[in-house]
Amino acid sequence: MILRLLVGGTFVFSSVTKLPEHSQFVDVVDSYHILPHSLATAYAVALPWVELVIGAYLVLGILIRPSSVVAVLMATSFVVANVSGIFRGDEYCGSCFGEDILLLAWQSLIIDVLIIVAGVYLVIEGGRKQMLSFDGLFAAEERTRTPVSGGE
Amino acid sequence: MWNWQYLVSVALITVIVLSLGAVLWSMDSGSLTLEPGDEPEGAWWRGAIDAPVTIFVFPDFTCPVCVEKERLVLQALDMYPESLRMVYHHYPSPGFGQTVAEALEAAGEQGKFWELHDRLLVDPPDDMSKLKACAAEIGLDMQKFDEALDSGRFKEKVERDKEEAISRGIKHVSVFINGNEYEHNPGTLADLCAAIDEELERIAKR
Repeated sequence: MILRLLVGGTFVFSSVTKLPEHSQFVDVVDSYHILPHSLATAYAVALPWVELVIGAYLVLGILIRPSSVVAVLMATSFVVANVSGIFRGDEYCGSCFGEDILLLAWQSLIIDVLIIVAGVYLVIEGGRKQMLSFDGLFAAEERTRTPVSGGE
Repeated sequence: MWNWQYLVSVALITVIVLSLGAVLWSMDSGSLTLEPGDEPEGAWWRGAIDAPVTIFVFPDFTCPVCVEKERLVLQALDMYPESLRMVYHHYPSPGFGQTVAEALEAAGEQGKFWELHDRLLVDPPDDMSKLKACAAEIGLDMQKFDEALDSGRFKEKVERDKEEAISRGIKHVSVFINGNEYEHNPGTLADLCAAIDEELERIAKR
């Protein structure tokens, strides 16, 4: 549960810093020169929304496994961007949590790797451990409703 | 678990989350516009004094994209000697970016702001020794330069410049052409010239 909250909370926070400055975020993603301009724009527009929804799903414990898979994929793309930034000589990661929170490039890389590790763990264990989660709530309700056929 | 009640609940939660996201999305003020002549106090400028087009720059010398943009702007200044003016305003990142900005002010105190600015663009330094080497190369009084940096005399001015820019809604390193934000990052010289030509045409039609 704690990992879910940490990973989900990080993504929610990240999206909350990006959404109010989404027009500048497009420029930031474009400046990495990893994707062609049209793809970079599409990625930059979609990313904050995906972060918000997946983050909220993880915090609330909705579709834990699929959400964790998406979280791992997002974090992997961040690692690629950060490594490319480091090789380019960028001292700070300007795309991590908006312009107001500047992380050193190596700091953001560590966070991304931790998210990947936590995300993989949630993918493996997330189906089983559903304490204080939305999915767990519905699974428990399902169990109480389903009649258990006993022996003679 | 995947009954209709679960799906409806998830859909409802998703709609609520997306709605909150839409509220945050709507808070983006988009591209900022600055009015020519409305440059921040204490800004450095060069070019034709009565140029019809002013390029406002808010760079950070530790940012490779910014450095490239600055180079393009300088090239454009050479290509449009009568039509362009450049106004520089500090917008450094914390740490070494701040130091470089203070170094520029220290050079400006000795009347060599633009000399150091141009030298830094050739090979941007990434540490103090290289920064000082650039300063020595352009003939600065190094004792005075070192004293200015060590005392932090220009720290407040640089910070104030950046805070003023932020208070005007400039949220990241930017370039403005007669007040309209230049969208390319960094783009090419052709992109920049096209934007300048467009602005000159717009002015000519007025």
